[in-house]
Amino acid sequence: MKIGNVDVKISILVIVVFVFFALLIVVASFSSPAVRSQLYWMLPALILLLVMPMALNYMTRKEYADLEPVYEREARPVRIRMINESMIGKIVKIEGVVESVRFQFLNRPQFMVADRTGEIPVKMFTSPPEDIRKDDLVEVLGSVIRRYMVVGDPVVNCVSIRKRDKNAGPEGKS
Amino acid sequence: MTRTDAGLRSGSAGTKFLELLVPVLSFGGTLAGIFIWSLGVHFGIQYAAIGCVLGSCILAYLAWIRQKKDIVSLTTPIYAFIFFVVPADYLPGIVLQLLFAAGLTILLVRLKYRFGASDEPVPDGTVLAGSLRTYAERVQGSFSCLPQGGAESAGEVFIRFARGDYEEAAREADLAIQHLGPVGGAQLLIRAFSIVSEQAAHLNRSLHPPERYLKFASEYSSLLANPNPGSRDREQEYHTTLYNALLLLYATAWNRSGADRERLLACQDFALKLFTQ
Repeated sequence: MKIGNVDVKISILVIVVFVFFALLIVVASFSSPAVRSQLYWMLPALILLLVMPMALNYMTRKEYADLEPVYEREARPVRIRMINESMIGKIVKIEGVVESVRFQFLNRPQFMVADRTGEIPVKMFTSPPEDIRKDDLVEVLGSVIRRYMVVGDPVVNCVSIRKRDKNAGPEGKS
Repeated sequence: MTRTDAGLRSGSAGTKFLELLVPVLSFGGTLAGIFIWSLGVHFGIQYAAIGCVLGSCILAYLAWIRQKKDIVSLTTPIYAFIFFVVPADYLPGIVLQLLFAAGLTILLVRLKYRFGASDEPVPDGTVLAGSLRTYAERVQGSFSCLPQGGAESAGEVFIRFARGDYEEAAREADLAIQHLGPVGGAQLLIRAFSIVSEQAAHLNRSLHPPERYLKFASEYSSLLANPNPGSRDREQEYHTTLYNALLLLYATAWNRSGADRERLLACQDFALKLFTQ
């Protein structure tokens, strides 16, 4: 669903939760008159189960869309092996192949991106505008953070992940 | 040998003993509880989970000593403690404990497969880790006539590169080359500065290797950290040349500039990543 320029997506988990409670309310209201008298607050609450994740997704994606030009301007290209603890907080640009995608159903995808020098987890706190799959060649803009905020190995907190054409030539002058 | 292989094949005798203790204690505690119950001594079966508590603590320790931490293994003692303190009926208690013991064993295997070797040195902030220390010792006598400023510049260039400040690293390397110019016996170090300068400047513009770039002469191969990259493909060779240059600067800085060691230690994890084998 598109709100303004932002394409809002809700995760499959949210839909599953919504359907579960919708069925629960339907079954309960048929079997018990006491439940029927409570429908005046149950139905809005049910709708909120959809609306709140959508609102959160809209806000996050709008924030990311606003950040993207800033990251585009400030990101420095780095090879994956060069990312280390001394770079925590730096804005980086990496290019590589997606080796795996996890947690996409939660709208919190984690991509394992690899280049010729190494691999690194790329975490995103919302779904990307494009459908990114395994073996896609991607360009990632993000900042280097620790895996568990204050501890753990460096990972990339992704603001933008875009597919690149596999047949396109190398970017930049050699 | 990959990191995973290393995890499976290595480990001191003490570590292997601890790994063995995880399933032995976890299952053993519950089995001992079943045995004692069968003798007619009916105590709270949740106390048989003491084996799971000990097993999970050992698992958490094994996860902690690895450089790459596994948060799942690290938190298992919390669940084991809950099983230990919450009263349970005999059959559900036993089933729960056996399932938990099986879970701990699976986590142990996962830890070994996915989280690297347990005897991989964890930098403790005071000494260099294994491969880096060995390399620093190997090149120790090679730059005995180097002026102190050269070693300090080597450290500065490495630290700036580690931070991703490639432009500054290139500038600092160029200054060091000018400074070292006439010094005899520092040709290898000058070449390392030149390689870092060239590749840092290039990295600022593009992630892809150029057609032509500086390399180390083959006569210096015994002083390089990674074996002769000439046998690999061109891109790999380009990257390995940079890793060798950076490691040479790091080792030189470590051996010759005592004052900078604290800053160099802070970048140790990056230096360790530059070893290709």
